[in-house]
Amino acid sequence: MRSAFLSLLIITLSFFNLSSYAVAQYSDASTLFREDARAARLNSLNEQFDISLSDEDRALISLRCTTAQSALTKIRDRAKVVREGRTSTYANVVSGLTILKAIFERDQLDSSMLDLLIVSYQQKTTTFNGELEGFIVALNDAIEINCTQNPNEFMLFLEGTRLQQEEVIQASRAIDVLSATVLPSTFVSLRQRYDAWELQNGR
Amino acid sequence: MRGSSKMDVNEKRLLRNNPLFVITIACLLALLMSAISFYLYYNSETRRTVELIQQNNQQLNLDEVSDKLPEKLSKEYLDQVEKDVINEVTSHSTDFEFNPEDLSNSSLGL
Repeated sequence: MRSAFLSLLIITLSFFNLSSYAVAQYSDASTLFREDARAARLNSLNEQFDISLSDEDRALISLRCTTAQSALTKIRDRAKVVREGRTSTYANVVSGLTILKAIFERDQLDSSMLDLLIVSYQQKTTTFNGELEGFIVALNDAIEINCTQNPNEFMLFLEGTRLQQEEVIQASRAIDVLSATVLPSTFVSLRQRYDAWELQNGR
Repeated sequence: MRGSSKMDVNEKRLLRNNPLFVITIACLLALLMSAISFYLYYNSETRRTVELIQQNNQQLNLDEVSDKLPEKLSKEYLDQVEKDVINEVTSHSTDFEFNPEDLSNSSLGL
């Protein structure tokens, strides 16, 4: 009985040991991957921006950068909230338009303009989501670096966040333009089709 | 020297008059143009759009959304959908949500 109990204990412990080893290996690998990706981003920024700080600037940045990192953390958290809100918004938009398309198909009206509008929203929001994700990653880079030790790298990552923010703004503006131009013109056409359909069906 | 150049000209004439050669060149040109057209289409926005429309059409299951559909399509319903979509998209402001000033050195206290 005792030997059976001991064997069971050994097996349980071995299993626990193996699984914790696997978890440790996995987290090591993901950390390495993350660090490699961050190093690659830093290299790319280094090629794009020429930041040469004087000793005085380095000292000043080292002194003030933790405050800046706190402000960046707030911006990142706000960007995450925006991501949630926009994801839900665009899902609602596509869903509303898809239901309208279903009605058009049910009533055998041409829905090709709606197809194009839905796809335009899908494409533009995919681009926007990618850019926003990149912005959050760039903010994380600037937040997580030891800025007091590496002021130069911190400034490079900060430039990276500015660059990425421009991309996000551009992608967001593309959605604004779509909503201000293609959306109303599509609905004008849809109304015309509806009128013709109504006339034809004598309703 | 003159004799050999005369032979070259004759060979070229022979090739031009050879229907098999002309057909082969025409086929090769047609193949090349098809390949270029296919390559351009494959990398174009049009292909991605068409594929996405096809994908959307495949995913659209009328039975799933049938309970959300009004019995009759009306102008009021079209107006309502447009209004809802505009309300949704205008609930976000690019300028407010992504203000470049937030990342300036002075705003960050640098």
